[in-house]
Amino acid sequence: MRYLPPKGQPEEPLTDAQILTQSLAYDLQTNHTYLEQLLQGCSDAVMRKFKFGKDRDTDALLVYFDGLVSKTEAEASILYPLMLEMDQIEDAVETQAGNIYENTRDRLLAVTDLLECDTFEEVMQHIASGDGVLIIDGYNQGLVAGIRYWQGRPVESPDQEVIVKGPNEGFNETLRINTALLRRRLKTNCFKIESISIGRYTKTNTIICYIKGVADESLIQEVKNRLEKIDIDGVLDTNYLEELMEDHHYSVFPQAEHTERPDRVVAHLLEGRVALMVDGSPWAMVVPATLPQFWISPEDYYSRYVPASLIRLLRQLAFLITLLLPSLYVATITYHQEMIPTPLLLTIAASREGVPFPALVEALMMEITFEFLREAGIRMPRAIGPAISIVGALVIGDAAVSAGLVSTPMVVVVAFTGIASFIFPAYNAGMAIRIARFPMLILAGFLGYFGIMIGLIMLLVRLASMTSFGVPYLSPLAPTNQGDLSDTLVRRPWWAMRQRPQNISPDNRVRQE
Amino acid sequence: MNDKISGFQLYSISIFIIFATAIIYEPRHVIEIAQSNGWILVLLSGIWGLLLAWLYSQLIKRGQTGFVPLVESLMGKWVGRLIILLYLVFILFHCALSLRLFTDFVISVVMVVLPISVLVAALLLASAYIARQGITALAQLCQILIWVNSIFALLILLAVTGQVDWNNLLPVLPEGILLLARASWKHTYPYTEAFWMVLLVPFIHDKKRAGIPLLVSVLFAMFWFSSFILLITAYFNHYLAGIFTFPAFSMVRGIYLGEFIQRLDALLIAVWINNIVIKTSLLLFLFAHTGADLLRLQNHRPLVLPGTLIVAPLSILIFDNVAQIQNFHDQLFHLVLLFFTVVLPLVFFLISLWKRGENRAQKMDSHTTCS
Repeated sequence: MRYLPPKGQPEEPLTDAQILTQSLAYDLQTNHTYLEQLLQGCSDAVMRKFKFGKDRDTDALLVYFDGLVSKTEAEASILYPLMLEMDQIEDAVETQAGNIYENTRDRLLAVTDLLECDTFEEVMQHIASGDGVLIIDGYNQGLVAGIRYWQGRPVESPDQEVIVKGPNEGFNETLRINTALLRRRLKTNCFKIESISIGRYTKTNTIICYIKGVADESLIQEVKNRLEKIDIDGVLDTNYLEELMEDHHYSVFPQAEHTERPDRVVAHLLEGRVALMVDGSPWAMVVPATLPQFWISPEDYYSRYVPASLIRLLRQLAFLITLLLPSLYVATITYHQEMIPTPLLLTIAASREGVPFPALVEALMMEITFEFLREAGIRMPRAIGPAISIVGALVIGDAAVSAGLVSTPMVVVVAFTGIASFIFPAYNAGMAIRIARFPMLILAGFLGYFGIMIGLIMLLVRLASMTSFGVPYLSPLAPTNQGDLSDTLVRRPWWAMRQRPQNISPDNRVRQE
Repeated sequence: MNDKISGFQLYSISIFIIFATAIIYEPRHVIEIAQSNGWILVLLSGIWGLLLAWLYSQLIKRGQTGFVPLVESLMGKWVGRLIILLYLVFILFHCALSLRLFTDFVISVVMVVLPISVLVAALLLASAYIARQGITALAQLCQILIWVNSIFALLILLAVTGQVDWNNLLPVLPEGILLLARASWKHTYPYTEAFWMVLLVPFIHDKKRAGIPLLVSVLFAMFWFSSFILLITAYFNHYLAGIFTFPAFSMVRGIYLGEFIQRLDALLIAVWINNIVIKTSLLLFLFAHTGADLLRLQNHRPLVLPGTLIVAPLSILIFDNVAQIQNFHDQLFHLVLLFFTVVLPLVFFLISLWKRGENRAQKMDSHTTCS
């Protein structure tokens, strides 16, 4: 039976927080009043009240946020059937007048995604997510119509992870498009996308993706547990999650891999990892992550294994150069000149003649200047980018040397290090190594090669003591796993890639028979 | 994280601790005694080393729960504790001495202007940090650095072979092998360092098969020691090699091949720093861990800092100069080392055998009585 309580204003005014915990009222006017209070000051909120039914005697309210829904679809799927087409259904109102809510839900609303909601909090969450909520007078439930639509970027090539050969689609800011990009590549019901809402204000839709049976169950559970523990006002990017979920909070090294490539995410899922994505960010976060993972590019697997292996070795060399080259130069110039062959030593000595700073200060100045230029290059408007590049090149490459502030070999060292630092496929790992080279520089300046070795050993120990979701950060280098090592230092041929990494997917290791 | 170390990790740690200080000082002593046959002497003393590795592996098998419970069960509670206390003191002293041996080498040959205190502080800071991180991190570090050291050492050896005069190795065994065999016992002390693996018992993953990595590490050390000494002798001849305090370093400094392969001392320094940092870290960790076991502490970390604070001044004040420290090292220290790493372990082993025999007899008695 349809229940129609006496209409009127609620007796006592409630606060917003109290309203949110309330169930929807049977009386539409009450619901309308509460919603008006909740949406006070929200100029983009639309509350469309209308009448429908045989004698136009049933009141209804459609609530949504302008800009988040497709108005065309709202009109065609909700308003038009209710206000016009309902009359054409012969038995709709007459025979089932007493159950107009069910009739509307089952026969009239022409939307594919249709849910129900009971509380004001649910109503607010749905409309904030871009759904339209229809509330009918006399019923304490709302119908949630999935009519989301907003202007967003189309699927484009990834900006940060450029490759020459291979798929070239990148994620964008719309979560549903991103999940579709993954689903298109994983046509199996074992591919699971679980959803969770994080952020007291942002209510960010966050998804956990994994392949059931491939990913370790304990890893999936651990990810879920850590996600559930997050209590923050808002989440705008996956980096929030990384920092809130990571094993070691005081490390500069990333403990999750961030990628904007669906193919890369799928490759990781196939290895047994778990991916996380948040609505509004084109970056997926993959856990667990290990250090050697960061010198692997997706392109390695799209080209022949010999050149791919050589390029991977080149990246490892770049890793060492970025970390050590300036320090080695400073240590050699300051303390170990006898180790430089005489002709080279004479050349360096000639170019350093008149430089007023010790090698350490010179190196620090140059490195910091390079970081300034790098950061400015990223932030500046594109129109003036070339101008800054020219100024930077002139200042660093020519003017500083001419003025006798720095020596030419130092410019070469810094430039070479700078180039090497951009070879890493993972931007955040490259950043970590760039940061790590500064303490190394200082140690080299004070203790020479001994300082470098001490710094290197301490860095290695720090990395060896780290884990990412329980997986040793340096694996498969240490603890050594020879099977996995052959696809870490070099790229294993596809015909030999028979097993998944042991640390990541210990239970289901067989990739190909 | 799982606090267990694998066989390869045990092998890596053992290699580092065997090489750490011996590779700096041992070549000169060996060449002084055996002259052109130093490399044979090292191989002969390695046979003793293999026997010791077997002994240590037996102790590892017997010490299922740890070194402290093992000694307490064999020697009784209070005598056992006293022995453990002596071991703790010796570990700190050994750590300080090793550190001093290395820093003396650095400030006398490589960085003569650097104050010893700065170098000691830097090395100890790194070692304390590693010791605090625990055995898993240390084992992983060794696992990586063993490759670095092996590659660097191999490069050095290959580079040297181009400049040696093999005639310097002659005559081979002019007075027979017996004389060398008699001297070999005195030069086992680098291999006795493998004893410290016994203190890692609780962390060893496969205690029953711990003997294999220990034996392999001794064999590996024999090969490298012997190769180095052979090349040093062939490079300088035994008269010159006996004059240099650090003949290995002097040899590497002299490498000059094809006008572009030269001054490889950076590689040797890197190898030696790796060795010494790992040795001091391990000794600090062993001090902290064994001390924590003795004091029934849950965690070894609180004892790392006190250990470091004792080692720092001790390593600086212990001796006045490099000659004094070498004298002590050559004359007395190896005897003390042999006491802690050979005599006492042998006593533990014999008592454990005797106790096992006694237990068996008791079981047999009870079995007979019951039946």
